[in-house]
Amino acid sequence: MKDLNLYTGKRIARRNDGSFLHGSGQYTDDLDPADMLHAAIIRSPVANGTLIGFDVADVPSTATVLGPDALAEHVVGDLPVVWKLGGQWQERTPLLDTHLRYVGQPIGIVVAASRALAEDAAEAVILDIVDLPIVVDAKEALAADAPLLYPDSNSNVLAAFEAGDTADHIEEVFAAADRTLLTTIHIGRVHGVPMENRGLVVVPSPSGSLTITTSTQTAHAVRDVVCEVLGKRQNAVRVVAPDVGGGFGLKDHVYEDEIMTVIAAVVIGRPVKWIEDRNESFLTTTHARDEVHEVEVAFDFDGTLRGLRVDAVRNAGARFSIFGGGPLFAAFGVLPGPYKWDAIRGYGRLVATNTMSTGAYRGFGQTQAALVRERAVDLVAEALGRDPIDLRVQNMIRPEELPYGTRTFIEYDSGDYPSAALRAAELIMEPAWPEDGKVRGVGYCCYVQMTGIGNSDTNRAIGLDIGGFETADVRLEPDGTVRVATGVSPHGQGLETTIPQLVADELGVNIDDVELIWGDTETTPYSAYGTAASRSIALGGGSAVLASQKVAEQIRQVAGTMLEASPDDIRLTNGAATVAGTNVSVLIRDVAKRASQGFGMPEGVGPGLHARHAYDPTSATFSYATHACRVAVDVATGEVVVEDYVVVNDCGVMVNPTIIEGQIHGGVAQGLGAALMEEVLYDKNGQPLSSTMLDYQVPVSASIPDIRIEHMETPSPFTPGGMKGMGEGGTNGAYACVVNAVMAALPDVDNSTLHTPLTPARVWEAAQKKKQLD
Amino acid sequence: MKPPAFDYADPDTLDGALALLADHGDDALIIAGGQSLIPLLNLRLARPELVIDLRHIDDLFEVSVDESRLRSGTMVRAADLEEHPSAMTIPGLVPALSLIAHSQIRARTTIGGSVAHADPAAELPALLVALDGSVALKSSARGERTVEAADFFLGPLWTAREPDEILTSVTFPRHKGIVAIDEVAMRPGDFALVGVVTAYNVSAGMVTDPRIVLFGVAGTPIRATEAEAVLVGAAPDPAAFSAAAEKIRQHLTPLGDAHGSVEYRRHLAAVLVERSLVKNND
Amino acid sequence: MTSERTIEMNVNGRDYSLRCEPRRLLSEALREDCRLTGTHVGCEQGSCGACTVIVDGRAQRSCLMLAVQADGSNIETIEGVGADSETGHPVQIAMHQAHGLQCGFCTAGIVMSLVHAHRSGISRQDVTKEVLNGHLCRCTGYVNIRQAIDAAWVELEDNE
Repeated sequence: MKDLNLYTGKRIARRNDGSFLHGSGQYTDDLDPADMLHAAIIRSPVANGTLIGFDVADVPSTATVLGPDALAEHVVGDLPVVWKLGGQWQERTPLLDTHLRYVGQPIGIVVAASRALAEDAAEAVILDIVDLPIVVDAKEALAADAPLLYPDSNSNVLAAFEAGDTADHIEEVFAAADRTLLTTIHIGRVHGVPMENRGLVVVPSPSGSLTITTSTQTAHAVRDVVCEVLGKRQNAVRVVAPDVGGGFGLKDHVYEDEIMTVIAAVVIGRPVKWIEDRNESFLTTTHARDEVHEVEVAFDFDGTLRGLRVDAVRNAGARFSIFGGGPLFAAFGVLPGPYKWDAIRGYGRLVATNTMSTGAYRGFGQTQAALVRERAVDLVAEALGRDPIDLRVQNMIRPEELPYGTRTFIEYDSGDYPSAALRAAELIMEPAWPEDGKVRGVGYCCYVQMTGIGNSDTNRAIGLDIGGFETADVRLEPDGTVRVATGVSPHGQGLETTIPQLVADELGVNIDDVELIWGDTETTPYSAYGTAASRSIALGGGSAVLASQKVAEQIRQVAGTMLEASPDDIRLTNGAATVAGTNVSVLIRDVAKRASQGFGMPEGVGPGLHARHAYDPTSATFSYATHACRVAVDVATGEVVVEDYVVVNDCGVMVNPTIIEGQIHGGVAQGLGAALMEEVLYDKNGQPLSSTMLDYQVPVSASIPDIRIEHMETPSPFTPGGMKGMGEGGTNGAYACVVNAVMAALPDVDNSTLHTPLTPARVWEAAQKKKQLD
Repeated sequence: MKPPAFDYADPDTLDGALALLADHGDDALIIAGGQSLIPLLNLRLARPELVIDLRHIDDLFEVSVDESRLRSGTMVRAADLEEHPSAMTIPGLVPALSLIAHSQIRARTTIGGSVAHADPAAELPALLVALDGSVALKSSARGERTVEAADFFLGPLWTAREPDEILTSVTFPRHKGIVAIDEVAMRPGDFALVGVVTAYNVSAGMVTDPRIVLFGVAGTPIRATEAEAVLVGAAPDPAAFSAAAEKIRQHLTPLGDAHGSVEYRRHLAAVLVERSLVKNND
Repeated sequence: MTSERTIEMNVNGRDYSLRCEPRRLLSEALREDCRLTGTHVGCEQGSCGACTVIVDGRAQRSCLMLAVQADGSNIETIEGVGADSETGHPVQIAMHQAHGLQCGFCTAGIVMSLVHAHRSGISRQDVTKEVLNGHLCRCTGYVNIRQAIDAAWVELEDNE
């Protein structure tokens, strides 16, 4: 255990800001190896069709074109799906296919001396396509006569699964309850919109090895997929994540166009760079959500929540993403939220349509679950004339009832849900609302977030092909500086600061002497996720704590030998190993030097000070929060302004509150965006209508009020150091609480169905439909 | 996306630019501020053989003012006109300019570019129509001419400019009453879902010369003549403004799209007109 | 068919002479020809603000200017801001202290706009309303950037 806590819990300023503030960051497009060429991707112009001709006669000889046949020579397998659920037959998804299933689908690649020349050459390729009938809407794709995306299968359903209680049991619970209510919630399709688009630079070497620098959240998974589909040996492929300008889950996938770029570099034998432009990103970087939930809630007159039953259809797009049906399954898992229910049941179907795949995006289903459940709870409160917080707290799991097993076979670990809810309710009511004639409402969201998914065997049991561990490798250099190699991969989350905070405290050294090594398959331990799924501080940090503790023990042992004292009496603080209660000490850097010489090593320790620990958690760990916001609605125009926003957040032991608040701010902005303005649209021919940042509107500063945050700290009983993940929590909370606030501002409107985003047009239209009074 | 290849000319004189334009016709495009053209080039939606840059033509950067109007050279940047000492003397001008996109766009976008581009949701074309302004054009073959604002905007991104003409100046008359411009957009700086310019005078307690121009509802700015007619000779009070808004509801046939249905835009237009007139009155 | 031009521009106090195709954007010329990769490209439509630089005293989108139009211009990019100071420009210091950046991709554009805004005497309130809304950030939710503006403007007001 650490002897002194200098850094953990403190608002240490970020250590990697300098390069970004002064323009010396190294993002993928900043790389410029010698002899590099540029690629452009040839993409399908149609949403459904068969490619019967790829004519390169007019392509200038200064460009190299690789069409489907040339590419196919290098491909040994299709793209993997790592989560297999519910009768899913698509275990791999097409990498190259002459059946074109969505606008933008990569068909081929052109390489030339510049991107402009590559695009000129790409335009000279003549595609011959036979059109096929198109289906864009998931419900329409379920119809018996719908066009089939995979004609060998007899339906567009890619997977169907259930979660929670059996149909019979929940029917009993519903029958026994005093009342039931129904609502339909349409969850709009969204796009993560990282500010940096995707891209990669592939450098082949004459020996056949490859270095791929790519804007990714997960270098090791990229290597997994590239090697799998191209039949390459992993020990000859190096993947590096440089500075990455945001990911939000989108860059946790590997894409056809990226694989094509690798093939092009191998074929040509020179470095090839492909950088996605924003237009391409909107078309062909993973979309998310696009679900319709039929929701039924059963409750008693006294406000007791009894059952929640959801039938959900999610638009999977033209092919499964690497996570398959995972997001919808994850949604069901956390559907209960912080409340006690007698029964919960989710039934979900993933349906293929002629649109871009939907996959992982901040929240990964937990955002949708929060909306669905918190809407249901608000409807119950409204039906019973109850205060929405009062009703929630009445039904909440009490702190003393934790750990608590939910109806969806998840066990929440620790926390105080009622205190967070009551405090948020207090905060949002102050200051008093303005009296200016505007219509206002307050909305809440209470959620529990599953973070740090694991352990590995549990993952396997729920259909995941990837484990749940993270590994850290901690090494003291001969001069005493510390190198922490991790499988997690920061792209804005501040891990370059927070993991060293943890390590510096465990080792008793100055944080300036600790460096995080990340994002390079050559120098870091394996991780299937990189940074995603709110895992990095709990599992990346937890593994770093455990590895550091091992190294700390080595330091004590060697220092003990040097000081002729028992290692048990050695304290590591302020860069020195000191015999407790004395001023007999040796600098840790001198211990490191001694260990690098191997002189007089104690039995079983050294030479060298170095340890690695793969931390496979006992269980996922559960952060939670209550979000509350106040909105003003201009009923005549439908415009919504979010005027005030509070969060009471508990993510266990906080390593750096400033970093946590930053994650909450950004998450809230994305949840608010999805609630009020963001939607990816297609026309009925599968042509994208959202392809620029003017069509697809993400929040600007004026959209987001200042956010008041209070913290609670209930340690995780599992994580070494007590941390819980929280990166996605802001989104989970904001989406539901903003929607609830708008609906609360319009109590007279028919709220039996809902369609997000609540754009001004939708708010106005909803306000025209008054409630039917019972 | 990168632009398709094109040639570039930046002549020193207007006549030089006109000669190039006459030679190349539809194969040439004028670049003024570039804030509308370059996005099109960057999507390969515009494919000129030649881009003619007006940035060296000093005459096009002049602003002149007299007691009845402000005349802006077409290359004057929106940001510069916004800060011009005389801009405030033209009611409606500075508010309209400040609604254009963001400050970083206004630094480059030009008065002439905005008017020539004629985006249906743009502010300056609507203001020009409301003020009964005009546009001066010149060609090599036919010399100079002036087109009234009411006749200039023909459809979405389509004006009365002939392919061999360059806009030389835009004239904003000084309205004697108050001019108000307002819009509803998803975020500040976005294209308007619906926008409105209103203006009127009051003489002997009655409204004279009302102007109501809507933008973002059709392919061009629309003058709401039925709503204007209701106001003529009426007292400027809430009842009259409400009656004007009702005319919008009865007569306006806006376009609908993914961001707003026909019904919503019609309703929004009526609401904005009423609010704008009420605000004008305060 | 398209003839390259030689253009002369001064960037961060240093003269550059470049051969450019007319279709080359200023953002490309800065990043690839001048090797100043601190200016980032997010959309090539002028909507996101990441590419904002200062040209002849105006903050503007470098993706919406042709390099040939910058012939004879003085340009400032992020690499030139605070380069003459040990700690950096007050805007840079404030952004760091307020945790106003996460992934860093949009940051240079925001810093350029803010540096220009202060130089132009724009007030604190107007910066947030008129300048910051011209920048998209997907990581921070803007809350801390506004804090940074407050701190930087106080600092800059104190120094006057």
